[in-house]
Amino acid sequence: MSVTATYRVAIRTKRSAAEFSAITGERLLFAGLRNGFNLPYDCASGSCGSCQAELSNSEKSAIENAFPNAPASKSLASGRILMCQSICRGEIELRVFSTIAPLPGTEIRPDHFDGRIDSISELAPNTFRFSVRTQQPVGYLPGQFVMISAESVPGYRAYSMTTAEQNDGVLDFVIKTTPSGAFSRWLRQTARPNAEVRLFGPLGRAILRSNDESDLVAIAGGTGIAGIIAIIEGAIVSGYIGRHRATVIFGVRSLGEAFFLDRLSDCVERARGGLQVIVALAEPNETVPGGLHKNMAFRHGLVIDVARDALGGRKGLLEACFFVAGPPAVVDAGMQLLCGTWGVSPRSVRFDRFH
Amino acid sequence: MELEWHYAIDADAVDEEEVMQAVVNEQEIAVYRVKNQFYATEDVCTHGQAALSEGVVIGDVIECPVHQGRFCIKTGQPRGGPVSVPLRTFKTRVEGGKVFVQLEKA
Repeated sequence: MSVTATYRVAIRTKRSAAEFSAITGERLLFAGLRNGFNLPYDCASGSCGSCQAELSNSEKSAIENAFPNAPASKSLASGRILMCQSICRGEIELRVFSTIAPLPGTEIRPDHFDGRIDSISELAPNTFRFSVRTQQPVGYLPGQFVMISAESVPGYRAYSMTTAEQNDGVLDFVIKTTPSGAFSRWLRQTARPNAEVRLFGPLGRAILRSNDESDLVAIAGGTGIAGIIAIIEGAIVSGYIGRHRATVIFGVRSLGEAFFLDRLSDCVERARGGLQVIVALAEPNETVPGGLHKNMAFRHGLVIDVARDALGGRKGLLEACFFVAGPPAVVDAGMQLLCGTWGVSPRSVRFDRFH
Repeated sequence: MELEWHYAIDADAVDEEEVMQAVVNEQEIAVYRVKNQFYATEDVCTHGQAALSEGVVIGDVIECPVHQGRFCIKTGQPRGGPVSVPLRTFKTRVEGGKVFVQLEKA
């Protein structure tokens, strides 16, 4: 019988303190969330810096840095660590910078899961769909993501589930593959059905909340559509779209690189007038065939420019609930348009920055 | 909008040029003492999930501990860094050594 070592992790702020157990080899952020603490994070991937904490009274050997070159680590003050990239190897004491509180009751407590690759298929050039069959059911809210790790590829990477709930034990994801991406290469060249993966989740707060009651506007760049389509499909089933209207603006480079258009068209059909989908084609000279998905609109331009034209001056815009997802450039430009130009409250915008 | 006064924190609990968190009506409030005057803002940074009460008071500015965004303690207006949305501010008064903040009636 093997016994996994655990270590005490103590967290504190000026006025409060708590502790939890981390499994040896577990990332501190994962351990805290798994134990039901509402630790701060955004990307959980080492890019945003939101999960930073200050190490105190701990042996340096108690923490292993899983990603020394993490983008967010460059701007960390001395003595600070990224909890998402800090692997527990001993007892640790941390000062954290947000209130120590339990996860809200509306959030699903994340956990570790074992899974196996179920299928891999190409959706468009350099865009693949892959699915993972998990040993245990994974509950999540549409719009959330999980961290996935494969044995031969160091580290965890974040992928949003593309369906509103797990289907037949399988979670679906999309990935834009890049030549230099280790997980991309593994998926395209090495991974076979049944290849083992580890998951941690669900994570992410770019979701529809139970007390939301307003129109939805979603701006998605490329694979940013992954979580958005899950939210939209879930909102159609629940009747949210029906009580409220929704608009999705989906940016792709060209029709040749587009994906999920059939699904989006199906969503428009099922929403019976409650959903508007506009596909923004960055390629300026591409002709859109006349009969293509007549219930959706196709516009030429970058997704944010198309969003500006489509939404500018719309009545009730400031009261809508916004989702912006995709590469950092799309999310940053979206935030600038919504909050900077139109005065939408940042509290009304849920974003998912894909790093 | 009806407002009412609520006890937040003992005045002695906040040192000069310091900030402490008070939870009032389930709201997290940052209470500051600057030149022996008390001020209050919402505690959660408008830029992300960070508690300003864990940050640094520099004169009349609070600096968020995570991305170093800065706000004016008195007005809640952004003063630098990546923050762009102002903080909500609340009126304060001190009575009997206790700091009270004025919030919307629950």
